[in-house]
Amino acid sequence: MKGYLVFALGVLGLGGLLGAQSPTDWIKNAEALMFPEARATASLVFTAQDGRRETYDMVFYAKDRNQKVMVQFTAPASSVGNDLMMIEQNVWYRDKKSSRIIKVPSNQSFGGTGFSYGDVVRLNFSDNYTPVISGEDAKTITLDLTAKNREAPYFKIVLILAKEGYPLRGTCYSRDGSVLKVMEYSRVTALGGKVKPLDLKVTSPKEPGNVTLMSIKTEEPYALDDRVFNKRNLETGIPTGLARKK
Amino acid sequence: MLTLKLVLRSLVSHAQRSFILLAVVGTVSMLLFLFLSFSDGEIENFKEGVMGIYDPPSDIRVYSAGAREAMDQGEEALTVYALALKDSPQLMEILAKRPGVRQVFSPGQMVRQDILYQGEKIRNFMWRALDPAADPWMRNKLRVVEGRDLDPAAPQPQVLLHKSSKSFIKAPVGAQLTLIGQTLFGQAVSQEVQLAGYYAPEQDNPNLGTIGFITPGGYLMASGWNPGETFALGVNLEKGVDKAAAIKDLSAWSQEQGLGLSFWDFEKLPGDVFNVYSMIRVIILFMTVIILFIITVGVMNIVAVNLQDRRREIGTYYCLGAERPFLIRIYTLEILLTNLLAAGAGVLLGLGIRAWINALKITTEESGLQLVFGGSVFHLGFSGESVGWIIGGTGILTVVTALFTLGKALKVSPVSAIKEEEA
Repeated sequence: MKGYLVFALGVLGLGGLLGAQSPTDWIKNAEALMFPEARATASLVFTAQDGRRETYDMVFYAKDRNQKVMVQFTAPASSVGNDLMMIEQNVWYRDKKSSRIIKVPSNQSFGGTGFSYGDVVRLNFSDNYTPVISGEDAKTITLDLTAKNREAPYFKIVLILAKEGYPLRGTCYSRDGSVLKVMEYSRVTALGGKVKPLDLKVTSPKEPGNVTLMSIKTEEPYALDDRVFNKRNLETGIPTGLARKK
Repeated sequence: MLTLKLVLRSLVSHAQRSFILLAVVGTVSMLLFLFLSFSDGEIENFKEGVMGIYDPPSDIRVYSAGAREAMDQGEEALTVYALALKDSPQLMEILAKRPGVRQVFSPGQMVRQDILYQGEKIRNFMWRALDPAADPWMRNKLRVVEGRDLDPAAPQPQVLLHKSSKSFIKAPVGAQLTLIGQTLFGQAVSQEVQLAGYYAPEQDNPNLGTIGFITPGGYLMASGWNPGETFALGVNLEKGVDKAAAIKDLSAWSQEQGLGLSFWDFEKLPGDVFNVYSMIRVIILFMTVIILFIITVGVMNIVAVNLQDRRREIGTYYCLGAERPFLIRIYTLEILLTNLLAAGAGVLLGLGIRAWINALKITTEESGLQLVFGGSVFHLGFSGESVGWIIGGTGILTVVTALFTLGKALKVSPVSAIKEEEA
């Protein structure tokens, strides 16, 4: 009896060890799910508190957990040709009117929306934040992400993940404890062989009424050569052969 | 000596003739001096006023090695600020003890943050830390026109806003504002602050409308600096200390001590905003040259007529055995002394007018005029360069006059002069 008990406890313990993920594992798995190397189409809808609404459709190529992103706008017509490239903290923007490539600060807000360019590339949880599990229930796990250094976009993020690994909600905090931004993930759908939320709604209690909604329409795994992320491609387009469907 | 005696005697005996030249050159010198003073005043106003708040001046700026170069080369802000000076209070202490150093201070780095008040966001305010007790130089540049001074000891960070911002923020003194934006290191930040009051700069300028002052604790939160960190230090030298020599000495000392500091002449550092007034200065100097050129033509005519009437005198010199080079020397010296006297009198008169106008303290609230004046108080400045331009211009005037008038004027036959004498 005693031996059986020890065996059972051992199996349970081993099972527990095999099943338990570290906070870092949770974060890295979420990033792998949400930021694959892929070609995707998406739309960004910004609704201001005064009722103004702006919609942007785009195709983007992303690699290295969104540390390299090339964005080509397909709508509205005024934005077509004003392509963007982001590599780590650096953002370049092609102004089609002047045919010039301009470097812009990563903290610049994208067209007055709730997004900044940096939010796309710098919200790299595993590199910028130290995660700690602060809560768990049957369906979700809550992680407190604390900035590793003062260059991280937010001082603290409380991220709620579904047990399946995808994010449900992220709340970004300033150093004084006030909420700066709330990110809500929804429309969980199977896409590219994975189940993940396709909609991201960003709001801020500091600017009530302003809502930014980013919706992924399609996502295809792509093998992207590093040469895709070249400033010259903002003018000439991505050369054939450098971006291949997997 | 003989030449000088003859010139002085000539000046006295032909005083009436010389008076016209004196009057013309003197008046022009006075006007040019006031013109250049206007430009000097613009620059002084801007340096002490607007730029004094944006970037407090010093003799020398101190950075960590590579920091200034990174900034001038347009490196990313994160890269630049990573090269900040650490332990600045200790650095300031040891720098202050160096020979020739009068004062060391931290000029601070402005940080951009928006204001959120009653649901409305007002963008692009720039913030500077201010502890009124610890920074009297900056504090003396402002007058609190409504509310009260900043209190660093208050439980909540406080801010002072420019009086012009009251028209669009509409926040009463004591109101709670939210500062929201990013630190110098790119991290999103927000904090609640209290509006202590509204200020007016002693030397106002439209560029100052979106500059606010915040207590040091609030500044640390907004900027992201760690306590003791700063991007640069300012060093002011004792009077009479040579700046270039001081920079060399401090650089050598820093290398010896392994401090990793670099020292820069503040006057030579690039500054985009200030370049506007420097360009205006160049334009004014160019216009001065044109005016002098026009005046030269007139002066040449006066001198030519003057010398024409003194043919007998010139003929007499020839009869006495004087040679042409001697006469060229005499008359050139006479023209030069007349011009210098006139220029000196013009500058002195200009200084008097300058003092009188400055005493009037002509002030304007018009933003257009504030831009032209470099500040809200019309001020005529003074610089050795301006006086140098006038004296130098006078010298050139003399040379050109001598070149173009003496040649013909000295072509006098001694015989015809004696004949006239006899007649």
